[in-house]
Amino acid sequence: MKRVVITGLGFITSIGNSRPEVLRSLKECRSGIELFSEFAGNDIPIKLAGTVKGFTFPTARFDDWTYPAGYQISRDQLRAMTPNALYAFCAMDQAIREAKLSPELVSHPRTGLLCASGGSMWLAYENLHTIVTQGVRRCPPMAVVNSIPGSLYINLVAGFKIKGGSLGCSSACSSSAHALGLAADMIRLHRQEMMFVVGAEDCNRFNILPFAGIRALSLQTDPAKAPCAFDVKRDGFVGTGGAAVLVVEELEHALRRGAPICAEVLGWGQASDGYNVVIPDPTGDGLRRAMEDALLDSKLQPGDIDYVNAHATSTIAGDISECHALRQIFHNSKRPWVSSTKSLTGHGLSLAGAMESAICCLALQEGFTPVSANITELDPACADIAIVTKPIPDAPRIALTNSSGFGGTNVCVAMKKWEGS
Amino acid sequence: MNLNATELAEIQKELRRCNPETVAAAIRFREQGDSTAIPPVVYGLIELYQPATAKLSLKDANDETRLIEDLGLDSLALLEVVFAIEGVLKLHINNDELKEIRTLGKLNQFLRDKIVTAAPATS
Repeated sequence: MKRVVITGLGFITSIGNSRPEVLRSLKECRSGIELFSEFAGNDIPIKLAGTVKGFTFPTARFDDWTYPAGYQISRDQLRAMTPNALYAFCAMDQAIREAKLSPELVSHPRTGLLCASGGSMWLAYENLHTIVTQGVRRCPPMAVVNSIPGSLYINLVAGFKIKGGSLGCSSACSSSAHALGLAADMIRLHRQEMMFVVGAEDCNRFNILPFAGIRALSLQTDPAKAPCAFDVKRDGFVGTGGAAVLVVEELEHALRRGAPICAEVLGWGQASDGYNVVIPDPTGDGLRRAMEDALLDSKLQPGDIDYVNAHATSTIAGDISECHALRQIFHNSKRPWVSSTKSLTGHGLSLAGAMESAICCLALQEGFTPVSANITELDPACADIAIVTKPIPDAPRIALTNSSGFGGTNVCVAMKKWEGS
Repeated sequence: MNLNATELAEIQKELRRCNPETVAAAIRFREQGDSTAIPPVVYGLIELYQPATAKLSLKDANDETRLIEDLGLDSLALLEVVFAIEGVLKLHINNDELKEIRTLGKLNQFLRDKIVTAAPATS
């Protein structure tokens, strides 16, 4: 079977809009969480978000939007976009540059694209509101294209002239982790030489606040205190948006063209809880099986793992469930370091898996272990897990990244530092 | 008939990226049904939606200028122009009618013909 490596990364995140910015935030434990102006109303009990800086979306009309300088986006590319597609377009641009891809390699029958997004609930609302209040004849020309979750791959395939296989993954908050796993499989089976894996989400009241309905969002108002995965005071997640892109490539292909390799994808696993629509199985059984599956696929033993980037969103039930899964995997082996980088970035929903896989690439390549921020009093129920509460000198060689989603979906991806062979 | 404040605000919002002449022409058309106001509105909107890579600049265009081949509008941009015209001038262009509109002259003539049978809707 073919081997799979990561040769390029792109970031539009709450903690930075480039690799150097994200790296610095992770190393210096800088949070991307802020009081969010969209949540300012007295009727909104949620106040924090992992805001995406440098972009503005004052109206639903694309010609009112602004984005950072340096990206070339034509009017006909922008007109069909959602905010998440615009974030992704910028992150794609970064990843293509970092991977040193020529336009011919980007637009090649052996280069594909796997996307994950919940879609733009904001634009869906705006379009449907227009139709309901002004009639079908006033349905904007791009109403379908920028209302559906498929909007992300629709925009990127056209914008970057993708010629290989392209599709979207929809498995809630494990979507882009699924995308990475499936992309790796497509390369291992030699169905493609290269895949772009993209996770992207809007960052606004329409895609974050509906989670208030299940009391999943933190009510904390101090950006320095939440989210705080694994802490006794955790009270829910803090939403974020943005985009992360990974260039996933067949090893020999990457070596032949002298590509800069960040890390190797050793394998992955997935399993479902079969338990509840939104509540994770309290025993962590589904995530445990996903991690076992990933270890088996990667030919690894639990003791090989140095670091786990936990899904840990800072909800009361979710973090404990994940600790149970970790405990069952590592009870007889060296305990790996565990952290939730969501405590710095916020929870990116469909974006989370790609963002955290890209963060693992940085940790492996740059030799640092990300901290699990905002822990002042570790939950005793997590006390036997080696949670990284402050900076440590250890540099991981092999890492796992976990993602779980509504419906009890669980994905675990195993990655290894690239050491030249 | 004078437009009310809401109608004026709608026109200004729809045409907020157009020049003042385009906005004034749209108001003149809506208030007076003046067909000479149609070309400035059409030109103003096409200018807004025309890609920078177009073969021909709008200032060099004439009635024979083709909307897609010469002015560089793709079929989606043409739909955007039609959508904006419908919103600003309060006219409706059917799918069958749209197929026949290939040139600037055809578009202007079509809109002039349209107002003979359908006066602009003002409240």
